[in-house]
Amino acid sequence: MDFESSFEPEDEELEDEEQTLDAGISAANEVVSAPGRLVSGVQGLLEPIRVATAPGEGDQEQSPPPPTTGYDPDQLRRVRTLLAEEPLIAGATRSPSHQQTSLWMPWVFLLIGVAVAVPILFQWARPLGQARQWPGVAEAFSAINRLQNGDTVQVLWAYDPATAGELDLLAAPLVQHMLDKGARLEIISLLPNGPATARRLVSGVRRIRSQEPGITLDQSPIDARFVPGGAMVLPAFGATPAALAVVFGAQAEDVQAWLELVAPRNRTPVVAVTAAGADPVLRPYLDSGQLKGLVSGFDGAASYSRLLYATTGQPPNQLQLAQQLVGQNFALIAFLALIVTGNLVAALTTGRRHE
Amino acid sequence: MPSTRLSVTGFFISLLAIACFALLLLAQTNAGAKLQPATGVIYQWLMWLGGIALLLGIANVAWLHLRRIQSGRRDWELSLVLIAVLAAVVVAGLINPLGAQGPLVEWIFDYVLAPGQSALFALLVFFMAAAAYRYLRIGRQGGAWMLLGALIIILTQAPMLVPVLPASMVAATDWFIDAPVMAALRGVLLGSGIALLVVAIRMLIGKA
Repeated sequence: MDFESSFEPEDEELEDEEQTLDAGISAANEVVSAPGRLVSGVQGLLEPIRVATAPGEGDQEQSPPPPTTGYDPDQLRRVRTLLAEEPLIAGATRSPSHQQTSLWMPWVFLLIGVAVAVPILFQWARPLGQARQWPGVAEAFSAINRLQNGDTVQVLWAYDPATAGELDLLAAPLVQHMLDKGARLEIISLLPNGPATARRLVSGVRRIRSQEPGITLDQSPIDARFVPGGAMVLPAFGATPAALAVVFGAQAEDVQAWLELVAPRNRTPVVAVTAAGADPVLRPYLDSGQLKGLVSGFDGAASYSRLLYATTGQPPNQLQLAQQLVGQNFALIAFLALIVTGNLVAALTTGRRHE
Repeated sequence: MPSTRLSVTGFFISLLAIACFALLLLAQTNAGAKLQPATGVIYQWLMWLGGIALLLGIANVAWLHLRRIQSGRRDWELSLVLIAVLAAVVVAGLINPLGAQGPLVEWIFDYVLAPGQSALFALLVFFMAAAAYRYLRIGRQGGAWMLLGALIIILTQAPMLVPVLPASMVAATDWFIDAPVMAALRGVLLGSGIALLVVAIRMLIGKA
C-alpha cells in the first residue's frame, strides 16, 4: 500500500471530488424540484410533516400521493445512491494525470519535532533574541509590587498539566513576586488537577527561594482547593475581601468568568496571566480597566522576569525560560519554512497541471 | 397522556428556582451584602450538587465499563484497565489520611497524569504544522489574506527576528492588533454578550 497516497488526500484530489459531489447535488436538486413549491432545491430542507398530537389522529388522514417528477425511477435511485454514499477520500486511486510533487507529511512532523526538541535536549540558550513587552506586563508588576506583608491574594488556578508547559513558566515569576511580598495566597481551582499543579509550582518556588541567602519565605501549608460546580460557584468567592485577584488561565473564558461573576462583587483588582492564544480576547478588558494587568505567553514571562530581576533578584526557571524562547524561535522559523514550501509545492503542481 | 398542568412538586421546584434566581440577581446589586448569608447557602448547595454530579458521573462511567467487561464486548480489556486504575486511585486516596496528597496518588499524578496530559497537548504543534503546510496557500480562496496575517504575526512574534525587523513593520503590526483586530474582537464580545442576554430572556419567559 502506498503510504503517501493513503496518508492524506491531495488538494486536486479533493477538488475533483468536490466537483463530482457538486454535480451530483445539482442533479439531485433538479430531480427533487417539484413545481408549485415556494422554496425548492435547498439542501437539507425536508418537507414538513404533520405530527399527530392525539392518538389516532393520523389514522383518518389519507397519505398524500407520491410526487411525480417525470424522471425515470432507475435514474432517481442512482442519484439517491450517489448522495447516500460516503465520499471515499483516503483510499481513492489517482489517475496518472493527477500525480504531483508533494512533501511526505511525516517530514513536516519531523521538522517541527526537531526544531522544538533539539534546543531543549541540548539546553541551548541562544539565539535568544528579544522578547517583546506587551502592554499590561508593567501594570501587573506594579499591582503585585504594591502588596503589603500579610495581604490576601485570591488566585484562580485555571490550568492543569496539559498546559503547564507554557503556564508554569508564566506563573513562576508572579508567584515568586507575591511570596516575596509576603502575600497570603488563597488558591481555588475549577479543575480537578488544578490544586496539585498549584502546589507543585508554589512549593518549587519556595524551595528555590529558600536556597538563596537572606530569603525567608512563609512555609505554611499551601491553601489550594478544588471547587466542583464550574464557573457558577465563582460568585461565592466574591464575598471575601482581598487585596488582589490573580487568574492563571490557559483560556480567556476563565478570566472572563472571574471578571463577570466575582470582580463586580468584591471590587478587587484583577491581574490575568494567560496563554498567548488568550491574549487578543482579553486585551479589550485591559483597555477598559477591568483588568489591572495582563501577562501572556513566553514573551510575557520573559518581560515579567526581567522586571522582577531588576528589583528583587534572580527569578526562577531562567534557564528553562531561555530554552523555551529558543525553541519558540526555531519552531516559528520551521513554520515559516513549511508555509513557503507548501506554497512552492502548490505553485509547481499547478504549473505542471497547466502544461 | 401527558398533562400540561403543572404538578404540585413541579410548581414548588419552579418557585424555588425563581426565588434563587431573584436572590442571586439581587446579590449582584448593592443589596448584595445584606443577602450574603442566603446567597452563601445557595452557592454552598451548588458546590455540593457539583460534587455529587461528579461522583454520579464517575459511578456511571464505572458501571458502563463494568457491563462491557461482563458482556465481553470488543476492547473489554481497555475497560478493565480503566476500572483497575480507577479503583487503585480511589483506594489509594481513601486509605491514606492525606487523601489526594497521599504518596501513591501524588506518584500517579507526577508520573502518569501530568506527563500524559502534557504529551497529548504537545501533539497540537504537529497538527498546526500540518495545517500551516497544507492550508496557508495563496491559491486558496481567501488564502492570501490568511497567509499574509499569519506571516506578519509569526515574523513579529519570533523573539529572534524582532530586533532584525524594521521598526516600522513592528509598529504596523502593533497597530494592526490594536485597531482592526481589537475592533473585531470587541464586536464579537459585544455581539455574543447581547445574544446570550436575549437567549436568557427568551428562556426565562418560555419562548426558547
